[in-house]
Amino acid sequence: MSILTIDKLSKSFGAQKVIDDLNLTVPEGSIFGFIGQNGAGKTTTMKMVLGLLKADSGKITVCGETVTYGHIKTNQQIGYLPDVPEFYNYMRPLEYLALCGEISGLSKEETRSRSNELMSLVGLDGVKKRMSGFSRGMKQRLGIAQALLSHPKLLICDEPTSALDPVGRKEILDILQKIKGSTTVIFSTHILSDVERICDHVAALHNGHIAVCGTLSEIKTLHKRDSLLLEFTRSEDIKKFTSDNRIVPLLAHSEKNNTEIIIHGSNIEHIQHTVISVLAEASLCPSKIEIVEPSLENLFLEVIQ
Amino acid sequence: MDILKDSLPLFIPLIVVELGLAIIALIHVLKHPNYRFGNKIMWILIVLFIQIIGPIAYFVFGRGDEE
Amino acid sequence: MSGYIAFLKKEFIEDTRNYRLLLMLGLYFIFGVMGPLSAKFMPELIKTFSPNMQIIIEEPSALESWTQFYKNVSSLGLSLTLIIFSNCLSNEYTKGTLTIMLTKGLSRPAVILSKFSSIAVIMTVSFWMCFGVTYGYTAYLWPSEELSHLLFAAFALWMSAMLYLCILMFGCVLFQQAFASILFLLVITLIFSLLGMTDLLSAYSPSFLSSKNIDLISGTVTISEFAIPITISLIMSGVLLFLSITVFNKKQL
Repeated sequence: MSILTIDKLSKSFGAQKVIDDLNLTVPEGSIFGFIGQNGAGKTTTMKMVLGLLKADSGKITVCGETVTYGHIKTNQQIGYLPDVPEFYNYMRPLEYLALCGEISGLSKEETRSRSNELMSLVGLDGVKKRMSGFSRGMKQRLGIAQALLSHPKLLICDEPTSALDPVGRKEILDILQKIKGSTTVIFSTHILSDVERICDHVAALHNGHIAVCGTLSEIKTLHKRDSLLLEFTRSEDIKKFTSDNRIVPLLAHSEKNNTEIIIHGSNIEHIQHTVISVLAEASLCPSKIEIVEPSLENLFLEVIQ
Repeated sequence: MDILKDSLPLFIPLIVVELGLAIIALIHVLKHPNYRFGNKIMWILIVLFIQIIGPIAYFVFGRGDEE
Repeated sequence: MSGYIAFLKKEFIEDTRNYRLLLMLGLYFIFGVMGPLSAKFMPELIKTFSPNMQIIIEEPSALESWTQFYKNVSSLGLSLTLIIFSNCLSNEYTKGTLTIMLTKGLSRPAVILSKFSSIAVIMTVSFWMCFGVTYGYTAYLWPSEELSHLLFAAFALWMSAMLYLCILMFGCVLFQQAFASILFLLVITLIFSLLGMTDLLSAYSPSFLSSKNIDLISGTVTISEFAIPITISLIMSGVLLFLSITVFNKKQL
């Protein structure tokens, strides 16, 4: 079952069309990575899902209910973590969570027990100082706590890791991993290694629409181009190798520099057989032979070109 | 001047409140050395020597965001 | 409704911890004491420190004490009050603190209404405390003098203070910056006082409420003359508050 459906969504700011005919489905229980360059429209899309921005056209459905701008019914199912969460500096974290709880209509006791539970989940238990003294990472962690307060079915995080150092990033990703299963998580990012680390579904936003979408493994197989990397120690060897007339037809899709060559092709076994027999006959010894796995980064670059 | 001396108790609440505001503002100036503009000495002078308006100016315009 | 109450509580915490409440109480207490004291002792001081000056000094009176009260509160007092509260919305805009609150289901009208109510409560408490202090001091210093319509005169000034608060709220909703909303308020005040200067409209302008209070106490103006300006101010306050909510509802954050 899908928890979020976006259907033919469009949005322009002035003459600039930011989101153009965007379709997206997020299955329940997934950790959904929403990738795109800076300024691709990730935040805009998320704000429209939250009803904070008005869509020009298109339909957004959250848990079976349609989102309308300015209305908040669907927001009860959603927890939102803005890219740079800002809190009231003069409050203490538990006071802030109490305020959030009261606004979302939780009872006092429920808020209290849930707050304690979440404060330890995000590693802030025992922190009582006012939030003006919070670091970026602490704010981000409290941001997750407030977003999860009312047991939302869907957690939307806008670039939760972009502003953090590696340690802070790992902590946030670990927290997201922990809540997987009880809550569907969508998180936008331009850091692809984060996506590879915790996401099971991915969509890439480019030019205002979804350029590629699916599970991580699906995308990798779909865009799989088998590649074989050979590295030689001397540049004469590589010349000798590439001039062999059995190798020449394989070079149509290849990347080559001084000592390295990557051969792309659809039938990796055929390539391997040919290459190995050529190497043996010419008594060439490469320093390295490797089958290259497609990285998400390559896929992404390929997709947005 | 006699009449002023006789009515001194009438002035006590005024003096207490004005001094109170100045002292609270002074403590804040000393404890939180981040100001939106100006420096510590400037704010100390403003808070202490401009009655009422000094502390108001400090808390409204001078106080920095971070505590 | 629960959002309104929760946010109202937050507003009071904010006003207390940001020293706004303290400043308001201090400011209005000082004004309350200063009116009667300067009415009583200023002539004496001038006489003592510059005995050669040939100025005609009126005998200190209870009316002079109230004149000081209205002069202080309606000009400096009200201006400082509005400056103290001018950043009530701009802080939330610039930092983006409202986004999370709104996604939690806080309704936009509740934001405006709770901000308005908290400021109105603080202004009302400070104002009437100031009135009480002046009243006490005046009664003590001039026990034999009886003045009429004191409460109603103060009520008229309070009413105009509420109107200015509504103008400020509207300014805050229209403009992102506190400075711009103050400027907006200044322009409107200027228009009011210009209207007040024309013979035709002076009896209707809201500025009547903050300039004729002493005339009411001294008896040159009657209560019935306040009826129209009060009605106009009430209607304008209501309309401005409604407009603030409507504009804020449409605002993209």
